[in-house]
Amino acid sequence: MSKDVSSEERDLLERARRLEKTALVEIYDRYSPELYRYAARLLGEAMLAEECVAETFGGFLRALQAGGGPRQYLRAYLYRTAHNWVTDTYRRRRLQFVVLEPELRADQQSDPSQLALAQLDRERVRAALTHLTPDQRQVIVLRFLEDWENEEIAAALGKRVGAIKALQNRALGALKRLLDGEGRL
Amino acid sequence: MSFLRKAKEDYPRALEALASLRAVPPRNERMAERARAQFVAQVQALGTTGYLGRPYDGATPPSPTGGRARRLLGYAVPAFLLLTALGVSFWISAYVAQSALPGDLFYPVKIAIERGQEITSPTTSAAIQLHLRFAQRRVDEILALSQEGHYQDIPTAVANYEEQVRRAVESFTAEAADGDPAQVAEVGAVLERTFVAHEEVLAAVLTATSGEPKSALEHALVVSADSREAVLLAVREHPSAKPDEGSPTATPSATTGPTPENTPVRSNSPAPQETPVAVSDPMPTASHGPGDVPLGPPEHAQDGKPTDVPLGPPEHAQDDKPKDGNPNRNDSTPTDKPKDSTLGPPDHAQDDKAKATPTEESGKSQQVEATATDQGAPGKSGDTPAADVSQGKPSSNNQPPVDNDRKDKK
Repeated sequence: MSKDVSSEERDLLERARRLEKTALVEIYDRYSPELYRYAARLLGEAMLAEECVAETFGGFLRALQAGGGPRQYLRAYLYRTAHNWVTDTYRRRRLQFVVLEPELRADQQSDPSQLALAQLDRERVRAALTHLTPDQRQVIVLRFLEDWENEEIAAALGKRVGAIKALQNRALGALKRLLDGEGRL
Repeated sequence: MSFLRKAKEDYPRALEALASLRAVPPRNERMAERARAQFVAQVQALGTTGYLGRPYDGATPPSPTGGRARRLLGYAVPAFLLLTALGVSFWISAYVAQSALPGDLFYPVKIAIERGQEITSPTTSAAIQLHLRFAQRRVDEILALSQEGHYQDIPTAVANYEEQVRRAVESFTAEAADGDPAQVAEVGAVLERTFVAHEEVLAAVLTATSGEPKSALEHALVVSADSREAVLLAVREHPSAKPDEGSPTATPSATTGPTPENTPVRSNSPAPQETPVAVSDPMPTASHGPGDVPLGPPEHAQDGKPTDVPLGPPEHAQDDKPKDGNPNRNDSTPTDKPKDSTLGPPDHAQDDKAKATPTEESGKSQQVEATATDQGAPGKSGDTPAADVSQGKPSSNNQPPVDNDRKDKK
C-alpha cells in the first residue's frame, strides 16, 4: 500500500464517517470488485461471493450509522468483514464443500475434461483452507492471493509483522500437510 | 523477499495450490449492477436521516457512543413530551378550576389545590391567611350560586366555608397562646372583621333563599358568630393581656385616634380633612400593617368574583382604615360603635379610652341589642349596605338572622 493510496483512503474514510453519500458510493466502486474476487476465491461460487460483498458493505453502513466502523484502515476493515462472513459460511456449509479423498484423485486422470480437473483441484484447496485457523487462512490468502504486504496485513489484523510472518509459515506448513494427505480433510 | 523465496522453496506445492485459486471467473455484470444499485439505495436511505435521527449536516462525525445516545434520546423525548403534556393539562385544569363553583366539574380540583396550599403553608400565620382567603372564596361562591339560582349547591359551599372558618380559628387560637400580644390582638381584630363581613353577605343571601340552603346558611352564620367569640376569647385570655386588663388589647392604639365626639357624624360625603376616619369608604383600602392577614373583601377582586356585591358590607366592617396607618383609628368611628359595643369586654366599658374609641370587641353586645330591636322590622335584616349607609346606620346591623339564632340558642 503506497503512501498516496493510504492518504487517499484515509480521506475517503473520513468522508464516509460523516456519511457522505458520494464517498460511500466511491468506496463501494473502489473495493467491491476486489472483495468480490476475494470472496469468490475462497467460496468458489459467484452467488455466494456477491452475497458476501453485499453483506460486507451493508455491515459497513450500519456500523457507520451507529458511530462505529473503521478508524484507520478502511480496506483492511472491509476485508476483515468479508473474511468473517466467509468463515461463518465455512462453518455453516462445511459439509457441502467437496472433500476429495486421496484415492479419488487418481481417478481425475481418467477425467477427459481438464477444466473439471482444475475445478476439483480448486475445491480441494478450498477444503484445505477451511481447516486452517481464521488468522492463518486470512494471512496466506491476503499474502499469496491478494498480494498484500506483510505490513499491511499486520495493520489489518492488529498484529506485528513478525507475528504475521510466523502465521504465514505455520499456515503454509498446515496447508502442505493437508494437501499431501497428512492432515485430515 | 527472502521470506517469500524461502516459502516458495519450502512449500512449493502449497503455494502452487493456492495459485490455482487466483483465477476467478469474471463477475456477472448484471448481478454486480444489481448489487451496486442495492447499496446505493441503502446509502440514499441513510442520507435522509443522519446521526441521532437528525438530517446530517456533514459537520461532525458520529460519536462512537451514538447508538447509546440515540437509545437514551429515544426514551428521553417521549418522557419529556409526556411530562410537558401532564404539566400543561394540570395548569389548564387549575386555571379553569379557579372560577369553578360547587356542582361544576372542576370544583373538586379547586378544593384539592387549596388543600395542597394549606398543607404547604410554612407558618401558622400563613395558614390563617389561607383559611381566611378560602373562606372568602366560599362566601363568594355562595353569593354567585345565589345569584345564578343554583340553591341546591349552596350547602356544599357552606360546609366548606364552615370548615375554613373552623381551621382559621384553630390556627389562631394555637398561635395566640404564645404569640406577640399586639400581633395577636391585631390578627384577632382582622379575623373578627372578616367574619362580620362574611356574616353580612350570608345574611343577605339567607333572605333570598329558602329550604335546605336556608338552614345551611343559618348554621354558617352561627358558626361564624361563634368563631368570632372564640377569637375574642383567645385575644382576651392571652397571657400577657390579663395583667393589664384596663388596656384594650384589641385596640392598642385606639387612644391616638379622634374620639367619636370629634367625629360625631358618619357621612358618605367626601371626608372633611379634620375627620378623615369618619368617612365611610365603601371599598377596601390598603393593607393592615405588620402581621397582616389579607382580609376578605380583596378576594372579590382577586377571584374575578362579583366585586360589586349588592350586599357589599364587608368593607364597612373591616376596611375603614385610617389613612395615617393607624390600624385602629377606624374603630373610633361611629360606624363601628354599635357593633363594637356588642363585643366589648366589661372592663373596656370602664376604661375611658375604650369608651372614647370603642373597639370591635366592645361593639358585640351592642350589636346583639341592636339586632334584637330590629326583630320587629324584618325588612331591615335584608337591607343592603347602601341603604344602611344612606340611613347613616352601620352595615353591621344587617345581621338579624345571626343574632336571632344566637339568641334562640341562648
